[in-house]
Amino acid sequence: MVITSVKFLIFVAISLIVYFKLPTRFQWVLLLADSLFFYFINTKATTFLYLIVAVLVTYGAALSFEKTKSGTKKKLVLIFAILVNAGILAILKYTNLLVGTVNFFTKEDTLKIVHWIAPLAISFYTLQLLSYLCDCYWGSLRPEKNPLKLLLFTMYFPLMVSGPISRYRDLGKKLFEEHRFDYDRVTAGLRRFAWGMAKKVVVADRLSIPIDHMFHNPDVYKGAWVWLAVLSYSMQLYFDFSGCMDMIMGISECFGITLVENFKAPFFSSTLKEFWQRWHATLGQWLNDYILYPLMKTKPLSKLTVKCKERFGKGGRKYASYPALFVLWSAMGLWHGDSWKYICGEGWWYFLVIIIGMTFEDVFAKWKKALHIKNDHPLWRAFQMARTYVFFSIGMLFFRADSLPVSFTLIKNSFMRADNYAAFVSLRSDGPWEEFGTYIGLLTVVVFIVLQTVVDYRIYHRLPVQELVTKKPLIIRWALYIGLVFAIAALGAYGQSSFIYFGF
Amino acid sequence: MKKLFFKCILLAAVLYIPVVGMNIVADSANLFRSKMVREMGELLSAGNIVKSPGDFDEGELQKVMISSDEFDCDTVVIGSSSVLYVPWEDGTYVAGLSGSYLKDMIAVIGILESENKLPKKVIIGMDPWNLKEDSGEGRHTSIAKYADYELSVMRGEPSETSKKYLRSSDIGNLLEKGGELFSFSYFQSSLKLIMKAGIKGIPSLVKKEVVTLSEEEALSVPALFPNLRRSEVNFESEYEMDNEAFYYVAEHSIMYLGDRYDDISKDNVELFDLMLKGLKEKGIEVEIYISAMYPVLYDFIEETGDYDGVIKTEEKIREFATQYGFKVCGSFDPDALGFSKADFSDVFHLTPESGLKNYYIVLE
Repeated sequence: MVITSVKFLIFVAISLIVYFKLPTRFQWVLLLADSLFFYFINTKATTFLYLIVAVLVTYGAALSFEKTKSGTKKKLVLIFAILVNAGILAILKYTNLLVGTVNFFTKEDTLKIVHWIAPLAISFYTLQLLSYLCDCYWGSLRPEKNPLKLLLFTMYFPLMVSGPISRYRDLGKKLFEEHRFDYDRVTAGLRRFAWGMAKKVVVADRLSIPIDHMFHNPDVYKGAWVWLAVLSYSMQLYFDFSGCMDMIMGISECFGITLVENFKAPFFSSTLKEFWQRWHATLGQWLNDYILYPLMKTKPLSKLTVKCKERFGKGGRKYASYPALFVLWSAMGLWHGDSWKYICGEGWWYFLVIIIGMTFEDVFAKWKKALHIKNDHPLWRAFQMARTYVFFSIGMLFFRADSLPVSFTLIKNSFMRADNYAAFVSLRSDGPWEEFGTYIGLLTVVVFIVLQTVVDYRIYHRLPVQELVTKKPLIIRWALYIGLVFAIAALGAYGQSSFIYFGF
Repeated sequence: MKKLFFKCILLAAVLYIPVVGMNIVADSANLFRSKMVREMGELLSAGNIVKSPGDFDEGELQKVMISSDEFDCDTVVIGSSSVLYVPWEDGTYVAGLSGSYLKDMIAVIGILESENKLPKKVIIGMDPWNLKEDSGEGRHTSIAKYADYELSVMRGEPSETSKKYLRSSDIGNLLEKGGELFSFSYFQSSLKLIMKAGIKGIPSLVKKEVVTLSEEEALSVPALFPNLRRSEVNFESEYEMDNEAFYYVAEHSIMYLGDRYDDISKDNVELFDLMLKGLKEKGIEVEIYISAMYPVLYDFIEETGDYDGVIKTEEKIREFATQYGFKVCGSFDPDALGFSKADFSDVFHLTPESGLKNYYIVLE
């Protein structure tokens, strides 16, 4: 059941009516039933076993932390629970990475590719369970006594699509508190859902048509065409993923449950570091909290920090963070998929850019001073944003390419001379230009990108977004609503792929 | 909550009234034009060639054709579009249905059975997806009840039980068609139709919806012949076909075969067995026609291992053929038949000539 489908809308509408008619203490039970229904309708029922094992082990381990006084025993239980959770994820999602790597080095099919079906959203819920486990271990969270409540936290149906990765201390409270029908809140949720849907079907799915075509024909599209495809792909991914988030947030808002924001106007970022605090923010935050900071606190890195400080002065502390950052970015790459292209593109590429920026921070500051560049100058800001966009897009080239060798071929192609005639002919005669909607399609995409930029500007400056619509007179407001639903109906590109992050 | 409910209904009405209206009036795939299909059937039965209206309810047309008084054929070909363009021998009726699944083929046999017009010979066009797990149900819902009827007959159930299926309502079909009324993609197709051809391009507004053609005219426009064979006018270049095939390879997803098809379905094998046994018991001669696949796709299928279901489908067909003593014509493997890319009109279809050649090749 795709969340852009009418079936999903009917499912949500019925759930909402029942939800607000139920005695409030039973509302979470309905959410659990909905979540189970959503899970079973979207994937193979047998995969539920993995999810249940993960939840039960986490539940038991968290409870044991309260009862156990011995530090060593607690640590052993923690390690066991982490191994079970991470192990299920690793076996189901990363076995083929091992198989592919072994086969690559042995140059034959030593090991066979496996086709195991992983539970829905395993990459998202495993991180949620691990954070719950660590928080309980550290004592910053009291373990949940009711296993069904932990199950709902793990598989709350809007999160089963593509996150956001939520924490129990935040979501746990919201899921189980009483929710009364709030007209403004439900309509705000519906508005956000509709906007997200437009972003997905009108822009992301439409953009995917020529982009897919260009990526599948590397022999035809070279030079600037590769850059066009890569830069456009970042935009497609943004509209796809953030559109999906808007829909999820909107639906959850209707139930009175505000989820943590995953996108905070990332393309307004000045640096790649800032970008990753604004793009898929919950993943970045999770990696910081549960990988970077704990690693920095380990004995070897603490010692290294002291040494670096002694050797390079106060600013030298940053060098000690490089090993931890390497682990963090490797994990970031690995989270994205079972291929070296993700580790290289989504991990090490960004690691490299960020540590270069950190290492030469002082040098760049001197250059800026010498060139009399002011931090708040609009042109400088525009340059920073464009630079960040390009750096991000290069990483996304690896994400989109079929494999690591193809990624390098595309990079090589991007510096070759473009055959514009062949490219134009292929775009027109092979169908993507027409399927894209020709100039109407182009205009539609441009208009929505401009509108999203306005929205993102307000998000970046922490201005209320929905007031753009709600403060308008009734007639204009309704004209906007009708315009939006008609845009979805008439300009959406249907029959395209599901969400890019769905099934992670 | 009532206020919100009212507003949602209002917004839905504002949206769906034009969408449904447009879908009914423009009806780009002719889903709601049963009158047009009847007229086509009558003209075809009378020996005319008619201009193809593009998409239409093919199952409905089969019903009209087979039930007409003029229907009298010794050989019937069932299958998907892979059998629709082949210039079969005279006296052969082509009951192919686009993208046909096993139950669609059984439904055609059901129509023939219910009309007491079973032929002497049936040529079954088997496609690579026919034994795939999710290909069990029929796609042509307007004739679905005939499949249930025929299966009941083949299972040897009492005649009254079988006939009950024929009397059942067409709710599934109505729901399927009704769903299209609310479809945004159908709305867009209707919009495109109007933008391309204007108001006059809408068949429901045209006085004469069904156009008959002379044999010469049928060479230049898509047409349906009296035996329901289609004329093929869209020949793609090798470059275009390769492009499309490599797209499927790159996406690791082949139309109808999906992104993985490593084994055949036990249920569908049983269904296929039941169909073959049923035809044999009726004393009908059976031949199985396997149309060659586009070389790029077949090479990919052989290499990847993720589509072993295709290879296993052919093996199973040959196994049954030996068991029941049927002839198997052609193969999915283009190399085995000596076919090259030039033998294809598009990535899923042989040219009409090669399609016929495919029929005459029987591998040892």
